[in-house]
Amino acid sequence: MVRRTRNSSLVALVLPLLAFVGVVVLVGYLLLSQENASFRSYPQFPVSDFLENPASLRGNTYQLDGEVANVLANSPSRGRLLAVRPQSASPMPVLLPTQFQDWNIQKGQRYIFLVRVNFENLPEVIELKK
Amino acid sequence: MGQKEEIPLPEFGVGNTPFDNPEEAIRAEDYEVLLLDKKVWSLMRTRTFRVRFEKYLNSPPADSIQDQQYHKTVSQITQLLAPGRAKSQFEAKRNLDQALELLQSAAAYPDDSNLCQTLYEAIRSIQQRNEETKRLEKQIKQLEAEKNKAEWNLQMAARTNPLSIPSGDSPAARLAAENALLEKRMKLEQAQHRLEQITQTITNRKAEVQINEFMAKGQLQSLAVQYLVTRRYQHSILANRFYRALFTDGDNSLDAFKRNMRLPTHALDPAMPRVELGTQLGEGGEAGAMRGMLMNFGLQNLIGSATAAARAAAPMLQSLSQLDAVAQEMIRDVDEMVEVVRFHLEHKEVKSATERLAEAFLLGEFLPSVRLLELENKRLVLQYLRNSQQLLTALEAKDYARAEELLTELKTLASDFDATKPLSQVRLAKLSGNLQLERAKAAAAKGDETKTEESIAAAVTNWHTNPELEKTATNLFATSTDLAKALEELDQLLARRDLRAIFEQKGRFLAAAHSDPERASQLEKALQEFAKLEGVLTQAREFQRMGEEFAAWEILESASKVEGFPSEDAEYHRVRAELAPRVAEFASAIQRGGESERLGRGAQALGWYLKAQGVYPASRLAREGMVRVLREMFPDDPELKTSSSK
Repeated sequence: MVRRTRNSSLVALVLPLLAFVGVVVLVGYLLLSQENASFRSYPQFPVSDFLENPASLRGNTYQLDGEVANVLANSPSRGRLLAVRPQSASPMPVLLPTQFQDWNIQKGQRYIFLVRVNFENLPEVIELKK
Repeated sequence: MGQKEEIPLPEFGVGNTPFDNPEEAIRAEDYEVLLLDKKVWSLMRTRTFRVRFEKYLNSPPADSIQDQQYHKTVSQITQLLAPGRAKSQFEAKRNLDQALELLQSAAAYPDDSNLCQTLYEAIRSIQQRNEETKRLEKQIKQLEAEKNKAEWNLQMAARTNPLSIPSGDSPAARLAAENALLEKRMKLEQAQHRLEQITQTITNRKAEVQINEFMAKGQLQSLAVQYLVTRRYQHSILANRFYRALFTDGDNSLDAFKRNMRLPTHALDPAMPRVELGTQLGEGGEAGAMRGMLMNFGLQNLIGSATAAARAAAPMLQSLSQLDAVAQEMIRDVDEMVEVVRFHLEHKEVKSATERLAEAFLLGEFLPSVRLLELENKRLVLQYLRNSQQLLTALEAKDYARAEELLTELKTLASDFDATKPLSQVRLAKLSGNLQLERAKAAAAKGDETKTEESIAAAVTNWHTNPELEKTATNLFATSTDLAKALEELDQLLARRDLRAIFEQKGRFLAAAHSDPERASQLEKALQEFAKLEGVLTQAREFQRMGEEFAAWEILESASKVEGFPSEDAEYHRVRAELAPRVAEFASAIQRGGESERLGRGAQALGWYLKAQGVYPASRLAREGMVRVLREMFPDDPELKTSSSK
């Protein structure tokens, strides 16, 4: 009889805890989904089109999910030029303007970039997320 | 030897001046020289001597029983007639008779050349003359008696008999007295006439005796001299000994011979040909002079006659004793020389042996010591002689290769043969011939036909048997005719930039363009470019072999960017085409990157270079391309300014 009593009290404690965790997760998911939803509205960066005819992409905004392969240049006036390797594609240049200068960008880090192809036909980061 | 300076240039290159060619060097080194009547005679080069000497060298030694018998007979005769051998006149006559018999038997020997027979006949003739002389002397004695009688008669006739003259003063008495006087005169005249006749006859007979004696002596003296100068020393001694046996009057002079030859009896006749001693033979002293003189007589015998030799010898010979001494001395000298020859041959000194044997042969060709020399020794000398002759022939023909061989053979055969000078001369001549050929080649390369022909002609003159001569001449002819063609081909290949073809015929083109500075410069540049191309291809092939196709391609691609690189080369294209399928993606990316860069599309160029780097991370071309583009796009990046790669 004593054993049955102890089990009942444990269930009473665990169930509310599980419910709380579930609510927290749900809230977090919802919050994240909202943020991603802002990048998801942009098409994936067309790497092959960029290589063939970058001028045709000029002014467009794309999301680019990729790993930082290298930092190609670092200009005080223009910012950093990254070599970003999208999934299953060769690296491509991405300009990280000076407003992101506080970001610690390192080789091997993966980011989701929101980029716009600028007047130099160079994809320029508008936003980025880890 | 003051007269030596008057001698014209020696016939066989003997003199104090350095030798101009190896032939002269050989001749002076190897051949004895005689100066005769102001002419130079090289012993070995005198054909007559050489033929006789070689005949002697090829003949076996004269040691047959017949030869031995002959020498024994001659020796016996000499001993029989030796001075002081006969104790009495009877013994002297007996020895003379025996010697004459032996002389007749010696005449049967073939090698005697009938000299003993001649001597025998001369002696018989002299004996007959002596018989005649005796008869004449007997007549003279009878005439002397008759003369005495005639003188008595004359004396008697000159006497006046008082009884035979009538006394009184009558006419009859006076007539009788006149008749008696007349008769006396007549008798006196008859007696005187008879006496004169006898005296004249005696004088005539005495003259005949003198002439006979003179003729007999002269005949034998001539023979003795003639045998000496013809180097028949033994016969000369025999003639001398017979002379002394036949004429016991103690007359030792050679006056009869000299008068017979119509020569002055004492003083040297300046009109006679002068016989001088060769520089190598003219040893000091009387014996040496006599020896040299007799060698020259030997040579004179070969080229002239025995009579001429005898005439030349006459002024120098004064007495029979001298004749005998000279003959004995020569026999001894020749015997010694032959011993020296054997000694030299034992020590492999064949050159010295040859010289001494030639000297001994010339001096005493017919002496037993010379005749008895062993055949194997003579064959060694003959081999040396033949090799020497072949060497001279080779030098005359300018066959220096053969001459060098022969010099080596001679050096091996004769340890005392000094080949240094002729060998160096031969090598110098060969070098000179080869240098002329090189000059000809150089001239041909410059297109200088005149100089080419001159050099070839000089090479032919120097050494016409040069094995390289024909080959070079043929090549040069081909070169000269192909010169224009080669230059034309070079121009075409330069225009096509076919450096490989130029390289493959570079020798021909270098020779052709040698005289054309502009073409030569173009050719040199082309060859330098080809060398670079070959360097690049070698590196590419090596990377390819190691499986580094991207690196190999990149090497080729980098090189093609260099100005003036001969990327038209077929081999370059072949290697590149071989690599193409394996590096297509990478190559395409690099090329597209380059195109974009040229069009000023920096972002696109970067994209392609990054793609290329993705395929081949170590790509130098991609890295350099990116740096170039980044410098344009990010000029204020301090790191890009200083580094060539990132």
